[in-house]
Amino acid sequence: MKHIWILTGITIKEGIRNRVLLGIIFFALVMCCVNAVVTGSFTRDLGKVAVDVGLSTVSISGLAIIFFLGMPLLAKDLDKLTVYLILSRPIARRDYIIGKFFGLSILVLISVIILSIITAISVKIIMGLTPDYIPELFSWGIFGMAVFFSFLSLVIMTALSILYTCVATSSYMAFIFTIGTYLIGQNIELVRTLLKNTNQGNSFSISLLNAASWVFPNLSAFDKKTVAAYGLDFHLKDLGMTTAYGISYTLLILFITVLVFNKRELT
Amino acid sequence: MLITIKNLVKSYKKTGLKSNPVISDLTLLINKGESFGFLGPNGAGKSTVIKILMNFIRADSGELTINGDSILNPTIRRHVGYLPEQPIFYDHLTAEELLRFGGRVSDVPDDVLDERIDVLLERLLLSHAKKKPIRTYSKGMTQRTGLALAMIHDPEICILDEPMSGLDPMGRKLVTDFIMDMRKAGKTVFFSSHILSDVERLCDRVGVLNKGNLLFCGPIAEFKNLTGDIETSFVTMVENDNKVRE
Repeated sequence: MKHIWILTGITIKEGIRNRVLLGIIFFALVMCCVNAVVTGSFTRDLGKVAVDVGLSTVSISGLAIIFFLGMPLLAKDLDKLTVYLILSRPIARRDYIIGKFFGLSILVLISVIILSIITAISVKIIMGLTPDYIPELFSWGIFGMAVFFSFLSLVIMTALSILYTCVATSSYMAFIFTIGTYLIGQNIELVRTLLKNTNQGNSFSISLLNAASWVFPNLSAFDKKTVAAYGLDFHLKDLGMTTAYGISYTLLILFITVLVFNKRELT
Repeated sequence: MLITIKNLVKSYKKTGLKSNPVISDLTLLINKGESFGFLGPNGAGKSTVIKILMNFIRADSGELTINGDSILNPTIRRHVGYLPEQPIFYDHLTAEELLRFGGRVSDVPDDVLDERIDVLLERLLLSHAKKKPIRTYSKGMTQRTGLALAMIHDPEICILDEPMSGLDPMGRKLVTDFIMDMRKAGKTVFFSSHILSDVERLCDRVGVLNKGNLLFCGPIAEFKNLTGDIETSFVTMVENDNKVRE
């Protein structure tokens, strides 16, 4: 366990000193200002729009950290072989993967916390300026819950990005796989429900979608923007199930990643 | 034996059905406290053997042990210091942070580590750059940082892949002195090199590898006596082997 924490620490240190992180946080700040401008152009549901745009900013910035900070850090390890400096030590390959995962997840967590605070301030300001448009049932607790689930979906994406970087022959391919998985994960449940409700699509396409839904993560389950924006009712059991789903999916991906990485030749 | 390589076979898969043999049935035994030079022309397979020994790549077959334990066991690397041919580090870390990382994962106590970092950096003329990010270092400084990292846990065995690569004469002297001191301290040094004069000065025994085949393994004096000087012995041996294989 000691080795995992040392690796986690070194990953965080390397990530925090990278200018990309500053760039992404700057982008998020700009998005929060844009949030105020965009929200101002709406004539109704201003509070809902502010929360929606704010939480989207958190998700997009978190993804940007995975794509432009996390994946390049890992790709450099494997492409330029900085991994030699780690694996020439008494560190198991399993510990390397877990340490990197924790390090990148903590970097995402730090960013999500900073961005959520910035977003919450911008939402608070907008709601303060337009008190009539605050959704009746809006609560900061539900807002926090939405941020937590957004973070959980980012943790899944972090684990997947590590898997793809270990599997793919180039970092470009890993990037494409991760984006593809994100898009599929966001939309697969919607498409499945649509086909089911409209009775469209042949049995093959429905079976294919069903099979894909077992492979790709259902990221839409972690999207609680609408719940947060309107302060909608939710069941704790559902939240517990979604959390358990997110954690088990992540653990499964990490397990596969360790198996793949143990076989990989580092040349 | 401290390092044992028995019947090592390694080939790389080509994009067809054929695979390209890189190491053919290599057996090499390195004794405790010995300084062993691994010679061979470019592409002979020296780095491949070292990478297999470090478990970065996997052998097709063969038995490899360090201190009697399989190389697949990561804990054996607590006793091993490794310097890659072209060390590349995390850009944003300083030499001090890198060495601290290396020491901590190898279970060096913190108080010992502080002292060792200072001693090593001073010895390798890197004290002035202790707190500077490694991305600002020259090639020679990076190579010396790599050597410091390999030595930070005072390993029993040093595996160095082309340790003189990219170094100016001053840097080469520093590294040469370092290897000599390790030899005096009874450490086992296994290194690959193209620089025959350094090999002659530093090694007890040499192994000559060509196209994955071990052509010679024995005391440096015996190798030198084949023709009278080490360079001629090396060139003649490799050329003869190439002719036979053609």
